[in-house]
Amino acid sequence: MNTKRNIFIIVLSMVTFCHTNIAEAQRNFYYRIDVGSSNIYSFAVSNLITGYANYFAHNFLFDNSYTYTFYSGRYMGDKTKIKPLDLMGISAEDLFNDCFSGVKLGYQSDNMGIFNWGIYGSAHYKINQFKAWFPFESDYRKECLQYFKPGVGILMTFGSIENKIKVQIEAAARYDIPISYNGVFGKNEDILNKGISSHFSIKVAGYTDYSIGIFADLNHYNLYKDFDDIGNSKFKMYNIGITFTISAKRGEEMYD
Amino acid sequence: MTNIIIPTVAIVLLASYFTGYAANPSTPSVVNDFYSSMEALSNEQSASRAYDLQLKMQHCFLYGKEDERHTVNSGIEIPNDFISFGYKNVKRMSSTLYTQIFKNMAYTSGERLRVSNINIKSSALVQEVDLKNYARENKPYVQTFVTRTFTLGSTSITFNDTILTQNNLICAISNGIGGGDGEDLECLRALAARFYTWGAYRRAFQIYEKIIRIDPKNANAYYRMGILAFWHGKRCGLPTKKKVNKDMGKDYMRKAIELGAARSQQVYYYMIHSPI
Repeated sequence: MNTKRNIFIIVLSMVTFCHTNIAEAQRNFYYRIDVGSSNIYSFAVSNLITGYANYFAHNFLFDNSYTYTFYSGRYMGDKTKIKPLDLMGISAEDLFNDCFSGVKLGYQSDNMGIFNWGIYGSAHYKINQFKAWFPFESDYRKECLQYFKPGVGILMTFGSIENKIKVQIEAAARYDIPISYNGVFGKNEDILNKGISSHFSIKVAGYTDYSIGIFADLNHYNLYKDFDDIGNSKFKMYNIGITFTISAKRGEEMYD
Repeated sequence: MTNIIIPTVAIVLLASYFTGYAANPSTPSVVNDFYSSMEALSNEQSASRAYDLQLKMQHCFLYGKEDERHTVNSGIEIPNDFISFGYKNVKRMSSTLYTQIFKNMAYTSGERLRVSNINIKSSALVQEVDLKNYARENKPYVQTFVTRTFTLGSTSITFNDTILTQNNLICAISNGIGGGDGEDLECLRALAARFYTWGAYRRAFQIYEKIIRIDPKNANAYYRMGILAFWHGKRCGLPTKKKVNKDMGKDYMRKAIELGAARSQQVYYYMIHSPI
């Protein structure tokens, strides 16, 4: 429990630090708060909230994403059946299904030419929920996994100040630390593996009212520790998603 | 292998889209025509051929069309290169008058003006965005650098010409920034654009300042000075304090917005926001 509290404090401190620095508007200071979920309603509502937050912050402060998670499981050679939660459900577990939030802080270059780069450190929290029918069970059972994901990433931005559109390519590595587990194997996060996941995204933005992009997260480890020791068994997850962020462009008078 | 080739091609295409990259062009044939005619005329013995060569020089200029008196008038003003050789009436003259005076001095006069050491050095595309929009028919300019020597009696002067061509026709000739031709806005703008494209920002900035002194409502110059002051203030010889330069850049860009410079609002937006 202490671990969770500490992680919460760290993330909160980073967000606060990030927000207080917005006023400084350091052009080389890269900051972004990520939010996302796989529920349609959550995505719509968070878009409204983050859109207004960006509007009042007069800058890109939040990136808002819709994500979908694929699971691939096999136990002793038998396939595990997976059912996602209702993407349009309105129960609490549906609304917060696969939701994540995090913060990215770092450095980005500020050249007027066509290429800019950046590097950042990040911390994300993510919850994954799904229903799985393992071969040794008689029906679907709900799985709920929560992770803390510190990481580092690089940014490559193409497009000069005279291009209306800029393209940003992002690659990051994150270390997934399980912080909670509730499912068929009990209620202990020790059942879950730690491991590296990679994150790739490509985003288009610029002198527009929004930015839009796609991303993919790939886990490079077995989710369950038990599966490591049993032959022909594995369980992995992959995320894909779109990022749609309403920008702050109309949030101010241009010539003040 | 395909895994390497496809991303490489994609990156090259992406980069070329944003840079608008194009290889440096070969020297426009009109530049060769102009200087070869000039040299030939200074050695010509036949009156009719001298006249033909003069006409050929006239036809090298943009919009050089014959009027009802069969006179070619381009309307392009170029520097008076003959001041040191006795023709001191004006600092600048039309291209038509230039070719006529040149013919008079190189062929008709007693002591002939000789042209030598013509050296066509290099050509480059002028790709400054505004200039591209400004260009007629949206064709890019090509800038060519040429040196030549005029000799009359004991007086010998070497000129460093900058020739601006479009659609293989000359639209401006400059003898360098410091010469007597320095008031021609089109030449100055082309030179500034060239320096800007090269990354010689201090020289580009100085020329834009000069343009504003001549034409205080020149939106393009304010626009470029805004960009240079904001992103390259130190390299433009401005005070080293970043914030001062950035504020100065914003001021110039606001002025450019007021004057309606293309893209000025977009760049101003990038000045105050993280662009992505």
